[in-house]
Amino acid sequence: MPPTSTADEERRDVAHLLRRAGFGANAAAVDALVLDGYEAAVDAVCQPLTSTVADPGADAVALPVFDTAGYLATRDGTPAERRAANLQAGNEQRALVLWSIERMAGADHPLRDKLAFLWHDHFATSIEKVRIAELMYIQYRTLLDLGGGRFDDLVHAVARDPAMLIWLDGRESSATAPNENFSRELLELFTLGHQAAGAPSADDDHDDHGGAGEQGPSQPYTETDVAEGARALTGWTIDPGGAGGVLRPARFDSGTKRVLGTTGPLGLDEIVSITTSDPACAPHVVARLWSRLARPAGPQDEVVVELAERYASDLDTAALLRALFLHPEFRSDATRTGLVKTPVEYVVGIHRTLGIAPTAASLLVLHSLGQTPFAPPDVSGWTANEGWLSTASALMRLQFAVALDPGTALDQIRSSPPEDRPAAAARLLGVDAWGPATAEALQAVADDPRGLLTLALVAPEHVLN
Amino acid sequence: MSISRRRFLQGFGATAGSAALAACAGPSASDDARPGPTGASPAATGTTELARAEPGGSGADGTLVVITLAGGNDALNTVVPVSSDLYRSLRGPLALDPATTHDIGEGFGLHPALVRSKALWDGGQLAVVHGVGFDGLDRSHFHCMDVWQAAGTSFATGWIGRWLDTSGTDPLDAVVVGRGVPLLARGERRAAAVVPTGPFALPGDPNLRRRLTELVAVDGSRPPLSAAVARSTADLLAVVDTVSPVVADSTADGSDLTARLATVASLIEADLPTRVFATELSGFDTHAAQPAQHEALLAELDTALGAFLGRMGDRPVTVLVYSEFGRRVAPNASDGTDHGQAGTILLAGHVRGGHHGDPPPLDGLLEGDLATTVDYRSVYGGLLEGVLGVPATDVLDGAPAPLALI
Repeated sequence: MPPTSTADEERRDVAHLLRRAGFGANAAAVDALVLDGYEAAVDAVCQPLTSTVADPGADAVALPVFDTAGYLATRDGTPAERRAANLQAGNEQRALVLWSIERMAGADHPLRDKLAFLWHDHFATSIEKVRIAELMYIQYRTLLDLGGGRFDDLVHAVARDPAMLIWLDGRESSATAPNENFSRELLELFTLGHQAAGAPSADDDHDDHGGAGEQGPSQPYTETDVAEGARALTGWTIDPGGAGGVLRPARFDSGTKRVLGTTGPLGLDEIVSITTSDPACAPHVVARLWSRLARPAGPQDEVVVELAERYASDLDTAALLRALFLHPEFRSDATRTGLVKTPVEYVVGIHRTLGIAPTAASLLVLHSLGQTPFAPPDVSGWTANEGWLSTASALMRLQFAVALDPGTALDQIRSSPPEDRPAAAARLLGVDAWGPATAEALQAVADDPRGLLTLALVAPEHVLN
Repeated sequence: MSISRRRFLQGFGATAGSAALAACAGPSASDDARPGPTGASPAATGTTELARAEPGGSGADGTLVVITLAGGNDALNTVVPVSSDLYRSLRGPLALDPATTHDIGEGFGLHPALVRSKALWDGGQLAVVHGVGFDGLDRSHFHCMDVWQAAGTSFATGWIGRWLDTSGTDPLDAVVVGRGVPLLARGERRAAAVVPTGPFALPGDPNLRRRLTELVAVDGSRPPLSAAVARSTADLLAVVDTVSPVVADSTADGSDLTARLATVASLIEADLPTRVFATELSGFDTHAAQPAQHEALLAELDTALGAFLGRMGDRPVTVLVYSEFGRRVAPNASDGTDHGQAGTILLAGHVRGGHHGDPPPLDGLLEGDLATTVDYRSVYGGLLEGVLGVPATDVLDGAPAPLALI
């Protein structure tokens, strides 16, 4: 090993950290953090979650303008009013999506926006049903503000969030015949997780669902818990004057319920406390975050169990992320090659590394690839890894790569001698190194810097995160 | 939504369906009917009076189109037991008026929106399989959908994906019209190609194809996910020139099923080697304000099916329509229904029209839900043998005997 190998490894590790804890990592960003070593880089990346440190880059992005009152006043009106209301809703939605992407692209401390988006994926709520862009903004603001805090505080806020009350029909649920939608997903997706009974085992060594291993852990909740939980969650509606959820006692089932072993006249706060303090909660949430930030894993995996043990004591998400990034497994080869960039990571990463601003084309490619923020396909959120790979997605990435204007970033490739240009593209895009086939293909187009950039953008090493 | 027009294709007619697919001696599925982890409930194993398919390997050379209704379609209000007083009393405000449904005999009527489906029924082109499900339908969207799509002992591969693994090598053998590859179309070695609605062509740069081919050349040093990225681009290069002219005139944005099935129709008419297509219609999770939503969704399905099968004429095309579960028989307080258990499968086009399976009894509900009477894998088995011409046992390990559906 040459004497520089330790420095090279540190550099590689910091770049990996920046890609996973944010969006992309170009050489300048790595330079800024590598001097003090990996642990200091983790602190620098995580610190803004627990402090009130300003993020001028993200905060400089202007808020979209919402006219919710105007929308509500016209959406059930005359045909002309309805058309205008639909147009307005579409405009507000696009402005909201662009705002979220511009924040991610411009943030000085991207982990806060990254984490908010991970929570959006976890508590997946879609504007397709909610319709009102401002309510989606309010929910996302909650995820930005509380995302790094205690997980139970976050669930308490999300459970009474207006967009969520619309999305999972909580506002429709009353004592006479409770609606199970929110109760089921609170248990199955948001807090405890689903352990597939009788599903995969034995010969399954490619299971990317995680957690459904041969140990056959038992389902952490029963159908009775879902039904009793639904009773406890009745009565919440949206405050007509404001933007919050409000309990209307006449619609609440005040009787005795029994959920996960606790009996009483339980309501929303008790249900959130019961579920978030259940032993199944921390492993479920840690598995989700580990799977999105490191590599796919289930709640029974060793590293998840280890991290969850600490997380269970205080549900402090900022502390969890610090432990996650410092865990030796985070820097293993399996983790380094264990994730495909999501479309948002791919597109925002390109904007950050090339230093170019998001445009309508950025939103279009996110839509084509199937990851428009605020419009997840269903309440389980977006797919991962192989789910993002197909003939169609390969074409969409290629079209985006061909069409984008790299601006002055191209100079960093052009100014290198031809034999160094593939390496210059790797530094520019935050890729550790090209494999042999990629390196050869890039070298073959070294006399065409723009063509080289296109190939580099769609190369497997860059499509992975 | 405009339907994409077919462009006349020169030079694409030569790629007929692989004859190798029809090679298929092998044991009948009925020799191996032990229940697996996703095994049949006791009720499902008792469906011996149902017609059985001939043992696999019929040489069938049909095309299968799989439509997933995501969210849990309300089977009870799709194929409605209109003659049952219990239906009306249990369904309360959500019960459909028998006079508005389309009579299909045996006490059932199709939802009022299923106008074209009724015409298909009258022409012997619609089959209804009652009471389809599995043991362990636990009302979770995501678990139940995985079981339906995997139909195996693990969630690593889907049933169409395993068919791909055991047959042919053409990247167009199976095509998903949409954005990503659902579990059902993922095999261990292969996955379906994905074609979006709308134009599908490489950017104009004449050097690009050669450069990309070099970029994704086989490189044994790539880790598995990296190799999967390279494979998706290699598959794109392999299919794009064939598919591009077929869909070149399509302007649809893919937001409705009619547009997606129009793309399927164009690809079928181009005589590509494709034997299986898959697409999705979502929005069936009708916990609140169900009647209008459900009607709109079924109308979208009906319109799309009618237009698609009208265009297919006498081609041996079979459409499978399924959902991850049926819904609770009793409504909730929001004019909606919560998650239930058994559902109803619709098969359209080249099928043995009529009723199949035993309708779950309304006086014998399972925790308030319709009980399973037919194991879903016996439907898949019937399609593998009757449409694709392969023994069900090639793909479905330990499944009950296939039904004679074609």
